[in-house]
Amino acid sequence: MTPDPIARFLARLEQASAALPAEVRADLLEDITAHLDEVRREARAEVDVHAALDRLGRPEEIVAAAARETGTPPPPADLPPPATEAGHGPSEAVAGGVRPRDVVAIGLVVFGAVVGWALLFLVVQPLMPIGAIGAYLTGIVLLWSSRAWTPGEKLLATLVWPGGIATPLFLALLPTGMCTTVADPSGGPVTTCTGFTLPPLVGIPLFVAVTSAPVIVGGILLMRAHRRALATGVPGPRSRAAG
Amino acid sequence: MAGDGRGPALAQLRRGVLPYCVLAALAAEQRYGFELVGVLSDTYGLATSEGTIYPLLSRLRRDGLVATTWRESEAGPPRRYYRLTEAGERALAAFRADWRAFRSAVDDLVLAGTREGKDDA
Repeated sequence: MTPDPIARFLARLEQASAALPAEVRADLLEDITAHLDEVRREARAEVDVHAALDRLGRPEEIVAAAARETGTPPPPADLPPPATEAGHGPSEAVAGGVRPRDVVAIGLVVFGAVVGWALLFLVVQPLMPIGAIGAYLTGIVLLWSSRAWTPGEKLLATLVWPGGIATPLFLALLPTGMCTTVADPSGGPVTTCTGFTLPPLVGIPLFVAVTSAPVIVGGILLMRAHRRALATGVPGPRSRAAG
Repeated sequence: MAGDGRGPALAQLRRGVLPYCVLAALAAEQRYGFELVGVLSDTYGLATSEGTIYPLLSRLRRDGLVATTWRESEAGPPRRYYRLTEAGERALAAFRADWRAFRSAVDDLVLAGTREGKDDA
């Protein structure tokens, strides 16, 4: 014995309509049941029943129409989402709501700034610092043309020079800290240092601090862009909301 | 279900006018659901999935534009008949005026330069 197609249809409709308000659902099931009673009465053969069911539409479609008419959100069916007439293009948003180009801007600035201390090797190995400066400058252009940050934040990120504050600092300090080793007439070599050098206890933490500054600044700017994106309703998953 | 891009536009047009077509189909006489669906679907080809007319009827009833009464049928269980209320008649009359203006504006634009546009306007 083959299962009754009408009973199967009603079972699917009952299942699909579970999320509708009870009153709406009861009305819908009653109306469709009455309709199918008429179909059963008029049908001469099983093909008539199948044709009538086809014309009725899929249960999910009917439930979606009922949800639309009552203003309740449609159930998560396999229907295409309704076309949006205006608003944000969802393609612009990525996880966290920050636009990809803003992530790239911060990435380039931080990369350029962190490896910027390679400026020191400009004479020895020019390719590395030139790449870093190129990345940095590209990032700065993207940064200033973005609407994700305030002018103050953009200035902060711009002041994180290649190498952070380290570059001017080291450029200023290095030439003054020169050591020369000469052979002493009495025997062993004697090293004399002129000028000012930072003791390692101060110099190393300072170096770490100034090179990590761009990373910290970049992180802060990304977090702020992320929060603003959430606050202004640019689509993005909320599960990763900061704070 | 045309796959040539006309489908969505026609479906939206149909969805927009369907409530008033339902009201118009009930203007002359009361009908029960199955009968009304048959009129809209068979006679006018206005319903692509017939089942979606029932949620529309429920909404029109909630909005007070149609009212229902149960009537015995000669065979089978009683049927729910739909009829226009006064509010429904007013809504239909208002739409008729809107529709005439809308139709002639679209005709002027869309059929401009065609034979149909010249002759039937």
